[in-house]
Amino acid sequence: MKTVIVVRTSDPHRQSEALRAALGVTLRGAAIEVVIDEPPHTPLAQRATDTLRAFGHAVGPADDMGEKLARADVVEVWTMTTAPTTSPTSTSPIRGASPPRPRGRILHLVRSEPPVGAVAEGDWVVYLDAMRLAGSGRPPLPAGPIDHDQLVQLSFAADLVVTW
Amino acid sequence: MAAVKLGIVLATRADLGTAAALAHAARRARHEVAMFVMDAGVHAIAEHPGVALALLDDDCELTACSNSAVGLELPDGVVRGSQDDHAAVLGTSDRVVALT
Repeated sequence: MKTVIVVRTSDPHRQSEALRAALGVTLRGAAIEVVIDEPPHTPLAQRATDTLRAFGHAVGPADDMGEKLARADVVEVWTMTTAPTTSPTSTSPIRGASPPRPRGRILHLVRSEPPVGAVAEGDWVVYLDAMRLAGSGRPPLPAGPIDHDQLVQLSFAADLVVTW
Repeated sequence: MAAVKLGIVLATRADLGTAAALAHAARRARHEVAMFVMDAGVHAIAEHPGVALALLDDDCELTACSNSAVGLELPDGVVRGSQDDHAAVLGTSDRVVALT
């Protein structure tokens, strides 16, 4: 199993927790890839990074997010604990949509804007704040407001769920 | 749809409502639900014990990272676990939603 941990926070505590989580996920043998653009901010984060690398897990910047997601079975995106000040809305276009990925369809749950290249043609997008399904990717439900029962349906209809 | 297992990882306060709503929806669909909670997510369930108790009443497995739970009172039924439980939720679930 391949788990990708994306660290999108500059908060030292959250960064440490994300890297601690990454290390924890290896305990049952999963292969881990950590996507992180900033250097470790705390000794704990540095130690976790060093340990992950010593065990052969990749830790590095997001050079091709779409390609990393295409190889993932599970993705955790670690953000700030507070809501972003400018949440994308259902009218916000997703930047830099990439061509359809060869492997699987991703359901993107959007709290903050996904990085360029993360959302491919054919992927589904739900804006969590508004609980609204976008029309992109020809989802199996009508675009527009959805409830949590429908969100569960979509989650299992997709091959991977990523919460940004 | 056959019963499957939804794994939820919660590590923020703000996403507690979404996590709980997803878990209850999955239970309505007769899916298994296993939730692992760490960092600010543990504070969220400590501050809202009724949400945690409702999840337990709905037969959701609820495990909190004991490292994050130091000094916090958690509702009866919430298991104090470790990162091994985090790995187990990811490894045994048919689909994972990470609210981290």
